[in-house]
Amino acid sequence: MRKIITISKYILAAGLLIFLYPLSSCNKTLDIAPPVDQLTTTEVFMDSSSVENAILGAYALQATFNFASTSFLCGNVTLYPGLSADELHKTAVSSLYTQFEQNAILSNNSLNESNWSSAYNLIYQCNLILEKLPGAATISASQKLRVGSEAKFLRALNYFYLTNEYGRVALTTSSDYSSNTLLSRSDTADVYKQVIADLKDAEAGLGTTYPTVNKVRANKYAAAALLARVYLYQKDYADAVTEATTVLSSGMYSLATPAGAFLPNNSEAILQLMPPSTTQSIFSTPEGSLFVPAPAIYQIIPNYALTPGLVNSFENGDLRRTNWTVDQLIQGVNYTVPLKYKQQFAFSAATQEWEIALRLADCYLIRAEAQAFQNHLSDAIADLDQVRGRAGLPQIAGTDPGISQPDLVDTIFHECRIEFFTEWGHRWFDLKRTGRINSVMTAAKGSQWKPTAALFPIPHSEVLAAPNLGQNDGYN
Amino acid sequence: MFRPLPANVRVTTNKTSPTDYLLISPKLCKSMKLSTLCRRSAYGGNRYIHQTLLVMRLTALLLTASFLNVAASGLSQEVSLSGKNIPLEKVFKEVKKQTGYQFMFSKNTLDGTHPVTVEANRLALPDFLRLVLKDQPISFSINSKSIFFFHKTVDPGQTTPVDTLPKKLVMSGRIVDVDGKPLAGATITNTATKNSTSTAADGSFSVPVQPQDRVLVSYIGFVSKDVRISTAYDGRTMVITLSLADNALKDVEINKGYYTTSRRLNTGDVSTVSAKDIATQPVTNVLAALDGRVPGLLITQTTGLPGGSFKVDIRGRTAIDRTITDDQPLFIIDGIPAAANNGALNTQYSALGDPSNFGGLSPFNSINPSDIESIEVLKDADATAIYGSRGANGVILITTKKGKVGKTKVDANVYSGFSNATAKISTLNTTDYIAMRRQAFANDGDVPDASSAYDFLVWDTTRYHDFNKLLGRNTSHTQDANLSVSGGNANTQFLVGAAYHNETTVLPGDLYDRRISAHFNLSHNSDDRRFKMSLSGNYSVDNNHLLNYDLANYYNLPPNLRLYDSAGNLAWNEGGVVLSGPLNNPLAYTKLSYSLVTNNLNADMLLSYAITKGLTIKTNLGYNNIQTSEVSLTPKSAYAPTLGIQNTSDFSVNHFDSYIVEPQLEYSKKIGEGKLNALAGGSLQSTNATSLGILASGYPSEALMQSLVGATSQLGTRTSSPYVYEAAFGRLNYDFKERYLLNLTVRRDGSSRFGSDKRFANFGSVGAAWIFSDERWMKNLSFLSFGKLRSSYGITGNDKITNYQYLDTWTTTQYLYDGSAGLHPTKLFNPDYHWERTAKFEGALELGFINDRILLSTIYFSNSSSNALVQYKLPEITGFTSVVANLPAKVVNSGWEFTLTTFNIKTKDFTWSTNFNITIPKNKLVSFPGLDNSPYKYTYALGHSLNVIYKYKYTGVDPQTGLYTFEDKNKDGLQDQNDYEVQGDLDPRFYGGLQNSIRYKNFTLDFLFTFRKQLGTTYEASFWRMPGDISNLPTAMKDFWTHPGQHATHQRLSQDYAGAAYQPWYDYTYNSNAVYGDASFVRLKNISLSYSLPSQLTQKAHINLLRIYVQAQNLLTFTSYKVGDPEIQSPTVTPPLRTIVLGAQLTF
Repeated sequence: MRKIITISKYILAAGLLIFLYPLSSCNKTLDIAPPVDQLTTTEVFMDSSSVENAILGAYALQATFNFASTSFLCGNVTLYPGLSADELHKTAVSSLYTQFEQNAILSNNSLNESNWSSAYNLIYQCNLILEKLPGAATISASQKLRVGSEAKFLRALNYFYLTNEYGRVALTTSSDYSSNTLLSRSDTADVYKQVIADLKDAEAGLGTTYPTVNKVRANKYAAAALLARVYLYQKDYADAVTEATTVLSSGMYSLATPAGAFLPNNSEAILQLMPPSTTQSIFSTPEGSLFVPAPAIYQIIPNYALTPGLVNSFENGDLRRTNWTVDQLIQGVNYTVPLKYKQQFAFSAATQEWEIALRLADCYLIRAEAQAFQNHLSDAIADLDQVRGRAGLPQIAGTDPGISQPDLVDTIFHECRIEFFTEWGHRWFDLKRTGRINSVMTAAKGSQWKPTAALFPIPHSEVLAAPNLGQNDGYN
Repeated sequence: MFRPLPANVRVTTNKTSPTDYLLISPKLCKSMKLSTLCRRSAYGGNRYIHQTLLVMRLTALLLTASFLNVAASGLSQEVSLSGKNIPLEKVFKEVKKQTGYQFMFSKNTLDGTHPVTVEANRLALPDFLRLVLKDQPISFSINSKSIFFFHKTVDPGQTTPVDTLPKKLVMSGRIVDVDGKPLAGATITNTATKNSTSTAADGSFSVPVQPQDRVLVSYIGFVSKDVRISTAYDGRTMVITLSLADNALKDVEINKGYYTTSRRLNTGDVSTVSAKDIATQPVTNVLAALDGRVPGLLITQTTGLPGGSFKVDIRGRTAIDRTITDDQPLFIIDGIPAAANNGALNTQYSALGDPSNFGGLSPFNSINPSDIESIEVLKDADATAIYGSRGANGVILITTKKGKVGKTKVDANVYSGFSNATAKISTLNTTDYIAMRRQAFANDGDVPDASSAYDFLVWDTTRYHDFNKLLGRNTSHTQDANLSVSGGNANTQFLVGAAYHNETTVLPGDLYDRRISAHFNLSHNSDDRRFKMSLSGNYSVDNNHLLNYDLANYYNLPPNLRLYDSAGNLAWNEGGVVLSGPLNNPLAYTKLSYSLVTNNLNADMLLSYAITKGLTIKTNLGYNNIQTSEVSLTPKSAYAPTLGIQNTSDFSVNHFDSYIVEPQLEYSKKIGEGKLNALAGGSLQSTNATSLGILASGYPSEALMQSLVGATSQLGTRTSSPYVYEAAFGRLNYDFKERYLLNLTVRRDGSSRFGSDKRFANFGSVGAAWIFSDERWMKNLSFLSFGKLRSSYGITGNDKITNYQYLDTWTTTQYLYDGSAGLHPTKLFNPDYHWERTAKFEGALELGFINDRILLSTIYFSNSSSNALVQYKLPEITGFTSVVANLPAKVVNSGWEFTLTTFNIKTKDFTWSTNFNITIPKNKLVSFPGLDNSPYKYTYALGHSLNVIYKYKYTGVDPQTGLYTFEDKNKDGLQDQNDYEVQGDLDPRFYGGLQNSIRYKNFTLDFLFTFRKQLGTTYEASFWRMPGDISNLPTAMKDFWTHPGQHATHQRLSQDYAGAAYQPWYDYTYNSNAVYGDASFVRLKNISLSYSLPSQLTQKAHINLLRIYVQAQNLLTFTSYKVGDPEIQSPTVTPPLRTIVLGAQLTF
């Protein structure tokens, strides 16, 4: 009995202690261990290797695609502007794609919507990285600079293409969704201002060597190459020449053979997007998965074909016609199929192919155009002839050294069409920035063309969800 | 509100429970010819008998008396009388006239009394009697509607005043039930000295007393008795009879979680399902036993396979976004929150369905229903607010059995039986099937060829299988055995039990769910009863051995599909057509084994210590651990070898841990005429769920598939999901005159499921009740024996949201990049969301008629849920499409609940009681700002239920085209989601149950009907192939369109998915109201007939009870629902089973 009372006293004391404990409403008790299969932002930026994984994740996201769902810069940027312009034809009628080809995109087109959202999903990640890096106390200054520069490069890359596809777009530079929701669209000039600022920072912050042995992450010259293009689009020819020269005179790059221009780490590549490893995905590059036709023996109509207008624009003997396209005679009809990438499936590939984001030929043609507009015709011809020479074509310096400035500009423009067909929207953007779009498209597609079709519509769901976004002209 | 007492009378009010006087006059004893029961006193000459025994014999008389009283309406229990020097006899006559009470006394009883002068105006009868008998030599006792009178002093010679010469007495006696069986473990407390004891196995006890002391005799489940020790008591052995409390509003203890109350004094809404009700049902899962028994509680079985889940819905749906929140009630087992609540314990898809969508293994499959003493369902704010942020969807308390004082008792119960599927699905025979297929080709204008019509051009057309019968209508067997040993003395009681349950399935193959469980309870109290402890434990191992898929799904295979080749092996092809995909040989799926082993440990300890009178400190400590291990094997032998399927094994291990610490302080004090009860407590709970999964494939041999040896590919995942919860709570209860009751509860909660600034919130409720039948002015309504009005209002919350939603998390990218794993943010994060909030109102009227033989409870409730947690739609320029946030939408669940309990016949040999309950619920989305611009635009409709059918309106088959047509609501010529219209909802219009319990001598018959009036999905909703395609059809599906001008029920058969019939069929099946129909049903849910051997017989064999019984579950279903079961509403899932068992119970 006595014992029980003694025990009871202890229990009483213990009970009282326990009793008081939860009543303290201690917030700390409620701090649970973070998830084991996820990291919090704080954890990501505590460790130099996870910071590295964070920027790698941005590239991975940029490079992620599946056959059925290509993403913004992995497939879409080739496909949608390609169909919209006068170079690509989808052989089977498929409403969502046909809307692009007929320049009559409905604002609720789901392809257009996922195109838009995959860009902003990546931009969000870049913004978040850029916000968190400065406060990452344990990360070295050099890593912060490099990772921040890569993030800025990727942000600029995405905004460059966004504004070229959609015109005025929402310019988000923070991860704060409550303020971003209320954004209205910025003028293209302001978007470009941001793009240029990011690329300048990236060029300054990145080294000449790539972060790894592969050319799949931005270095200084990737930023410079894109910046050259941005300046060209802005008609800032002097700066375009400067930036292109930075790349061209770096000594790190040279034009590859036509057959080798899309292989991994080839000499011409400035930036590539690495596809998933063969154990993770069956597809090689998005273009490969989209365009590579079944062997002719099966007599299956290819999904996509080049327009006759483009096919007929190749000069005789152009190595690009033989190396980068293939003719398929199916049920008596000839289809010329884009074949810059030759591997559809990764596992069947003897040699791999990696998606080219930026390559040296672009720098030559940018500088050629910028020099031509500055009336430095011989410099322009020299650069143009580099590209023509690689394609096995006669040199302008030899055939027409006295070419007039307008003719030279036209020639360069034509060269761009041939060099960059079905490649990252070059043709569509060139048509728009040079003011030729209405005449060319009316000729190619007839009276159905409307000038407002030069811009894709802001997705309808976005117009509804973001109160201040608004819509491009010609769409509802 | 309080009626003042007349000023001109002196009344000694006694507000404690009514007192029975122990002694009656020996003359009465004699007159009643009960002398054999009288004992000679130590003083000699005087005979005493026990009033209780007497009462037993007087039952018939009293019943008559009470019936007489019912007839005498208008009589009151109040007395108005004035006069001078009135003889008592005259007084009594007058009182009898006014009240209708029977006055029982023998001739000589009134000897020695003197006339009284009295002036009373509407004085309560007992008070009046006390007044007039003051200073008289007689005393009285009221029992039911009879008043007994007897001499106060039986020994006229005794003159010593009681208080000057206290006697040291020991009261000894026996406690028995109405059948005279001893009650072991009943508690006898001397309220004056607080001395307390328990009865032994033979019901005997002894406790020190003094004259005028009062002794409280109580026993769980029986009406307590308050016995006053007469001044003349001399220590004789007494026999006290307790009667069963099944009708006693006052004595049934209601568990409200942190505290208990009586049904009479309860201010909240609590329904109880007792062990007795559970015992009549041969169910594996205790949730099945709740169906139809509790108003406002809807239980829906998800599959008839053993181990399957049950959806539990208390007063309607509140969750708008079921992907991140859950509106299941809170489950508490012996004070410990169930670690997995009502979520599936497993992670893999199996024959039990999808664990992430109400399928999977039910956590309650691990609990042996026989171990359960009672289940309480808490519904309104008064009852649930003390659970704060978790009480919004109601609380279900499960309490396991405890040991009782008495001789060691062994209880054994075994039953065995068989089950079949409730619903049969009859499909076309081969001839009709082929005719149907040919018609489809003819309709499409297609010529069947070997590639499109191999089922009737290539395959043998003379073969026929009834796949529903072959795959889903086998007989399953059940065996159940329970053994428990319990007992104990006044200080320590114990119970240990073990059980075995085995159940096979209606699917082909050696499949089963097998559970072995053990349960124990140890209770101890110190001699002075100040220190108490109780330790309970449950442990079970369940082996759920099923298939990867429910084969009921394959009822519609072509009836001539080949199952075996000529060598008797499983067939993989016929005529060169390889069976694969949905046309795989269904018997091959029996090779896809799925095994799920669950270990469940529940341990709970309760410590309490009475510091001073009225102040008790207690602590509840609990731990729940559940581990499941799943092995799902896909051997390549289950598929045609030509398909090149790899041997694949999927292993998962899930752990759930939950512990809880709940210290509490309880205080009670009498204040004036009222009683104050206060409770303060704290709660700290921590739960963690971890999951480990490995998917391995490429085994060279099927024999290795249980291991990882030889697997060429292994993919692993591990997740962990901790949850911490703390709270402080309090309750203040004031009970004034047992008539006016006020109950306040408050709770402050913190939950780790919210961001650090939003973790704490306050909840509370006010409950009040008024027992108006005790008001004086109600006394003249003698048919009304009980009347209570109660109401409650309060705020509760719901924190049942996926963990970590407030965190800004990153995960690895789908693919490696440049050889390394990438990270990317998983979502936008919102650290600011907080609890869903439900404001609950309830008003109830509880009435008892004819001495509580008819009890009627009418409840109106209205619960308004707001701040719903949803994936809030955002523009994609934010980086994602949504963020978790509180939506200012409001959902109101309101409704009426009626419960009628009648004790139709109540005699010694024959009792019959009926319980009927019905719930009429209404669910309404009252407001939803921005609905049109939310992802829910085409899911919900304002002003309608969350379970609304918001689809195309089906307008029949076009007689010309033979295609289904739908209303173009906005007349824009397009058939799109903008044409959606509200077409009713899937909420039940009403539901409930009707239970009857009949006992005649040693036979007991219980049966329960459940009913539900509702719309549901029809069998056509589960079609994923067009009628006409290579898939069999139920014979109930008739009248397909064949020629222009025909008014048909179904559109033309077609097998061309590129043809005109496809889109109308698709819209019909997935986007229209056509696949919804009446799914109402009445089910004879349970019937139980048992026979107990007469006690004369059993006692000779030294056993207490031998009972044999036959029980059936889901015996009959009355419904107009076609093809399948109206509860499951899908022909592709095994329906609830009809089970019949035969069993025996032996107690000794």
